Amino acid sequence: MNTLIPAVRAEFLKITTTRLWWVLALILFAYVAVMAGGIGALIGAQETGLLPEGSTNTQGLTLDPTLIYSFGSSLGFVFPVIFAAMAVTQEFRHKTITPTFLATPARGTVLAAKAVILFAWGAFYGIVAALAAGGVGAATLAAFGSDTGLEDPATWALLGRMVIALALWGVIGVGLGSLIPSQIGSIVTIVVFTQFVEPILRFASSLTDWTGEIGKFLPGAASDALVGASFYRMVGTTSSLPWWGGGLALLGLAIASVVGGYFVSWRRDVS
Amino acid sequence: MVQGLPIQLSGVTKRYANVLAVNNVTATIAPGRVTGFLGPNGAGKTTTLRILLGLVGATQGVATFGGTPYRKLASPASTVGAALEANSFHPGRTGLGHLSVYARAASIPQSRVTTVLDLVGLSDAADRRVGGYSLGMRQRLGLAGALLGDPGVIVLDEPINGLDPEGIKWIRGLLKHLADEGRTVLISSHMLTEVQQTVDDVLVIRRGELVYTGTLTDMEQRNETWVTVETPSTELLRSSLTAQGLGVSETPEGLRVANASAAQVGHIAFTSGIELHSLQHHSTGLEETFLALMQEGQQ
Repeated sequence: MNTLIPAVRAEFLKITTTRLWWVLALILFAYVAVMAGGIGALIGAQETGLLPEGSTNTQGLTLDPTLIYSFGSSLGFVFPVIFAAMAVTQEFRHKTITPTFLATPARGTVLAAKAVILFAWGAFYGIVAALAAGGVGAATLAAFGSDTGLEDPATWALLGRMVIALALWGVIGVGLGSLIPSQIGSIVTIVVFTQFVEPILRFASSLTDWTGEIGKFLPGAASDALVGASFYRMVGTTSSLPWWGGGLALLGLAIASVVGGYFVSWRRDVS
Repeated sequence: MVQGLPIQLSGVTKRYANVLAVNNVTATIAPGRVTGFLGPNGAGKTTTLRILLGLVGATQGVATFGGTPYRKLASPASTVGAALEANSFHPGRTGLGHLSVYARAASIPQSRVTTVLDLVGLSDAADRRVGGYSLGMRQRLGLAGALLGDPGVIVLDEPINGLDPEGIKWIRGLLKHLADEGRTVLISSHMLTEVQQTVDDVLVIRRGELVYTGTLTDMEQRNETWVTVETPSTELLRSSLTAQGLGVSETPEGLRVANASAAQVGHIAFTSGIELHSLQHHSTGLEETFLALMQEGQQ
């Protein structure tokens, strides 16, 4: 009997019967909206001459609308990862893994169902982030009469790739939660790696050409490559994968982490 | 029509690094009866049940339902219903939400969720978060989860723990009713007195090994019995009883005659013309028999 579809439907209900999903969606929207709106206002004020010449020091950076829109993924990607990791770790924390495996004894099916649903949920967060970055960012730029770039199809393609990036981050979260089944352990690892370790590695790897060739495969760099714009790109020192290359690197990481997680925590005795 | 399958454990063994948690457990649990799986905490009850349900892998041996291991069952939730601990719930989910999730996973219609909530008396609390449930309500919710698929086999780990006296009376009736319908009912407990009025058959496990398998009635036969008798002619009675092959010892309450009935002792005294002042029959309780099993582990 095929149990994947019932398992996917059960995983969907697990999310909607608890509150975390919309709490995180609100925080994600507010966070990205404030950042996009803030930088949008900065660009707008600069372009309309509200700010005196030389009062902003952008170190030669061109602030353009796509940078603002990319906040949706460059800042927002951590939300689907944490959410997905918690969807896995709370099963162990609250021992609901017992009724889960009783209802669906094929453990690989349960993990696959989680990956499917959290891919979809990551895409949902991607839409929320794109709305916050694109909506609030463009509205702010428009308020100052600056160019929003929304007439350019490339901008819309960027927002679309952002949705795909966050969907893949959802699957990576499932993998990370399975690799580190401790809820606190996995959240701390995700926050420390994405917010501190990886930015430092990306900066350090950009210092020489040959390390840059490795650094472009870092998850955050691959994600930025997929979306096609980021602060790092604006700096212009890092080499980057093509957008599809970034997408494949993220997909590879997603598959590898889920498969690894299966062997680490999903086949173990549940006691 | 309910189909109760026999549960078969054959040579089930679980070894952790240096502990033998379950050692060569072999037993058959019959349909249509309530079977108590008894033993002190840490004796291996929960590990055995988890092996039975495919949650823990056995080092050796197999556990099946009518010949099929849990993980190979075509539709596990409608064959076997289990509740293993009173707190495997997400505290933020409502009782209704919890059951709905597992109903979906097992392709059980949503209407059945309402039915089982009603059956365990949780309809009024269905929309409250489980985090606010009492232990007794969690037990009822776990039981509702076990009954979701209307299974022929029901496995419950310590189901009476945390229930109030009214709840205990209710669950006893329910378990008997389920067994009478032809289902196989297996419940574990660390206290015999808790399940004494409910179970037909008993498995006693001690340090991972089965030390008793049989009916509760047979277990009662193992109770130690004796008679105390008071008489002014102590020496005369003692020799008459000893002559009949009975073991006699002297206590402050009079003579103690082991493994004898009051009628037997009274008759011997009467035929020997001995005056008696009191004659009393004594027996150890089932709980003491159980505790003796726990200590000695004799088969």
